[in-house]
Amino acid sequence: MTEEIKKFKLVGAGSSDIQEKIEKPALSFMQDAWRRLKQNKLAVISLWFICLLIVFSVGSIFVVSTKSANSFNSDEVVTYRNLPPKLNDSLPFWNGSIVYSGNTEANDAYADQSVPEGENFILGTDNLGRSIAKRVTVGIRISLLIAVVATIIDLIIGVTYGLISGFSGGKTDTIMQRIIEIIASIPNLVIVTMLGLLLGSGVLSIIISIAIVGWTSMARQVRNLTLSYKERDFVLASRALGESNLKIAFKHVLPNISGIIIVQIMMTVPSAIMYESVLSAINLGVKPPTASLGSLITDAQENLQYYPYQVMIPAIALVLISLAFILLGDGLRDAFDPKSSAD
Amino acid sequence: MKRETILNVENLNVTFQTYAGEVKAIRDVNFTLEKGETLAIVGESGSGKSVTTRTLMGLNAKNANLSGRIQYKGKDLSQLSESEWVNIRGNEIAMIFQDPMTSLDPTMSIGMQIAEPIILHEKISKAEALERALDLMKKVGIPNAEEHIKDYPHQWSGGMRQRAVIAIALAANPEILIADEPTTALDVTIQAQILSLMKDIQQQTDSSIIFITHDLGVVAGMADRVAVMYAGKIVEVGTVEEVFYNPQHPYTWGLLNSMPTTETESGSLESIPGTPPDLLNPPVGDAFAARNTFALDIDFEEQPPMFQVSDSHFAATWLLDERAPEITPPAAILKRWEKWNSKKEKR
Amino acid sequence: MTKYLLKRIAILLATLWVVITLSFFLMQIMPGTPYNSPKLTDEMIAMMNKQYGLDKPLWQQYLKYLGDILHGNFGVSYQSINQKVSKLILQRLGVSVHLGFQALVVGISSGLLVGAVSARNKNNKIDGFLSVISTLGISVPAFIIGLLLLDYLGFKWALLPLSGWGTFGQTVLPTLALAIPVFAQVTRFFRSEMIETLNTDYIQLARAKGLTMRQVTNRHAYRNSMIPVLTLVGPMAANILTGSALIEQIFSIPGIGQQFVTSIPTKDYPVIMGTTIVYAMMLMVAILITDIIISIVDPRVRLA
Repeated sequence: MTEEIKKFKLVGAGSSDIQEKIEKPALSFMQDAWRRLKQNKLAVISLWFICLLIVFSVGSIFVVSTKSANSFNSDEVVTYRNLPPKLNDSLPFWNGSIVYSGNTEANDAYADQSVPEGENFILGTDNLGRSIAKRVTVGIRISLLIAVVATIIDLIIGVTYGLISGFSGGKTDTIMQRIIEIIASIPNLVIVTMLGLLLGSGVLSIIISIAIVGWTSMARQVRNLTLSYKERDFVLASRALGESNLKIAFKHVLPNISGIIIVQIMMTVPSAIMYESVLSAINLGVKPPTASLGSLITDAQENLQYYPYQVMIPAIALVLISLAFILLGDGLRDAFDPKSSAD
Repeated sequence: MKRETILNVENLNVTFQTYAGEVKAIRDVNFTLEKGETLAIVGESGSGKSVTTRTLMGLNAKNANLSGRIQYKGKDLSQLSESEWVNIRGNEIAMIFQDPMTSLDPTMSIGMQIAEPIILHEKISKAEALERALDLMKKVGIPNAEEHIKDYPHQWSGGMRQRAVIAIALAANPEILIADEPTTALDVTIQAQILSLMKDIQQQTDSSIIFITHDLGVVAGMADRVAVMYAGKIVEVGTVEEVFYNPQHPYTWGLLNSMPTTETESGSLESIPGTPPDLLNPPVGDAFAARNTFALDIDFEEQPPMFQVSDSHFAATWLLDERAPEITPPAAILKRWEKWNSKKEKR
Repeated sequence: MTKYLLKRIAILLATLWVVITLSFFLMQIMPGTPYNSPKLTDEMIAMMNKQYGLDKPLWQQYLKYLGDILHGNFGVSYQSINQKVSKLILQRLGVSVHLGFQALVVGISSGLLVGAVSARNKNNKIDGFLSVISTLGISVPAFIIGLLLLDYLGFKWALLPLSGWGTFGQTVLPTLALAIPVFAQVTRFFRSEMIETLNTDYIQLARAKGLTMRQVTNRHAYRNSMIPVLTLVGPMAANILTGSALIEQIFSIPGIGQQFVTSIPTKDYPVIMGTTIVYAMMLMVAILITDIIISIVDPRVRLA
């Protein structure tokens, strides 16, 4: 009995840490997003792929120079044209044999052209005897370079424009938005053609063209987000404490919208790559013999029926790169805003 | 005079399966609802009030698990399939939502949105339903209803939209109205109008109302009985008079003390320190023990059962056990008890 | 609503003016003249300058250009001597409009259908499968799709015609090539919009009325989700314009895109400029029509 009564002793409230005990450790926004991203297998694979791609591209600068890939020496006696990919004689498919149209049986192209033993072209050669593996490597480099630089320019111009437009509000905002609307109403092809004619073809002008065409969507998004954040209480609080607009923009608003900006970047890179390939296809792209993935595809277009690998290999490279960025972008978007796909 | 019980909730448990584990949102909850009465459920955020209302409408998310019984008109609602629920929602039990700015479909006219449940449950023509919608609009006090029946939500103010939401809830003449903090998103003057509207309608239709709120002032004005929820359990339940003037649970004391009244002396308002517990791993004993200045040893070991204070008044606190020591509640609570005793003597 | 539309039209006219002005000044900067023969003496050149009005001050030339354009006179092609650009374009315009419009309609309607199915089956195998297809659809440029379709369906398996324009069959492959990216974008966007809509309070309220999920989706969710998708039509039409230039070339379709592509390496500036102006106008019309449709469907815009 006394045991029982003891239990009814007045002890009062617990200590403050029991009172406010939180079960899970607090995670910062980025940590939380990273945890969510890791659960998305496709996104993680894409992330690895892109990292490897970047390492590969940078490393390849030392191994495969642009010149060696793109130049062809017409004086050279021995060039092996249009060789299919060959890794090893013993493999059933990657062994340098090809079915020429009209035939039903495969030919060993390497034997036909008397290629010396051991000289294998992993991805074959094109119609000028250049190694496709080397050309695709260089092509990836160039396509990535164009896409990344164009995206960075988009980012700087777009984010700045959007922040200014959103923060200024009122008439300035309206005028700035009208300008964007006008630019957006001009078909990209038109702008790019005009720039192409003006600046000539070549890597620099393509970068400028793509950047000019792409910054508007980033600016629009940033501006809309700025507007919605501008009215939030924490911004008003900062203003009440006397912080200047510039500081608020960079210290408070930008970190909050950085997630969406990152997602937008992930989506811009593949569209820049694709844009460049379209430009190359209409002869407003890189000047031959420089090769981007797009120009490789277009140059080999006429050979599609006879030597399909010349088109397929750069095409697959292009598609895989775009796919990786898009999947990563999707994953990031879900990671930053779990409500958008949650059950 | 006790009227028939139309809703009887027994041993209700609702858990949610999440990636972090099982969240025990509602833990062994029991209450009843009589015809024509207004039952208020009060509690802070996370106490389980909203989950209770969703459960009574069958609108919980897919990862919810129910056990227990919800008796309504001879049916156990906890066992209903989705196709059976469709006949209950709107028709027998209807809900008034909290935020009028987001509860209405922005691309459908208000008249049609009010008519929709009528067409659904009463199988009358669209034209007739719109007639009834017009009547409802007038009933809820929307001025010049004929001119505005084709309006869209964005053309109306918050207070007017909430009236439309009430009209939608009433449209198919439900037995039970669940009002989930219907005035929280509105300013105080509109709040008073909406509350008085609801009282009028209740008198006219003799419907029962379950009123969710965190505002004790609203409880005082609207409710017959009140249930206080904390951490997924009901800690005290009784008539409004009983709970306001003879409160027995320390949490109720805390709630009542944090509400300024005309008699509050100057100085700081009392608040209850700490935060509600995490329902992934609810504490073993009384969930309120950690924040309870009047906690007993046993509060940390065993959950208190419901002790009866009167026919209608129950409180789940070990303080009511005969073995508990005598304690003096805070001064403001003593004042309430004084009022209670003097009222009792008068009777 | 009329105020809204008038504002939109004003912006489009301003844009058109910008495009025309830009093209005029570009023409000035471009090297290359209407007449290239070295046999012309200076006197003859001066005479031809006078005839073409090229000796007048710049601003006068600009006004003449503006006037010409407004009258539908886009000058004369450098390549096809004495062929009026406007005639060259008009001959081919119908084909391109047909192709672009068809691709848009096919892409959007299939995208909406599949997006709805995807959202209904969220996170199960059907959704996963459709997600893969739609992600691929935006990862592969239209012209690569065109090449693949041409090679396999056209050439290797001989299912459909390879080139030309005239029969329904000939429109299938190019339309598919252009429609697939549109379909992919629409289905992805519509799916995410549907998911977001189904999480809103008003959908909860609709369910609380006693509507089944199917009724809620049909009567409330679709309409609200479609409106944001309509805002995509403008940018997608722009992409179709860009893509169609290549597709027309790949499939030998006699549209303005094919002409545009061949006029670039030959530096036929009047044709290039004329086509770009026409492209700009086509895009603006597409955007305007979309704006009209949005203002009809969305009461918040209609009754602002």
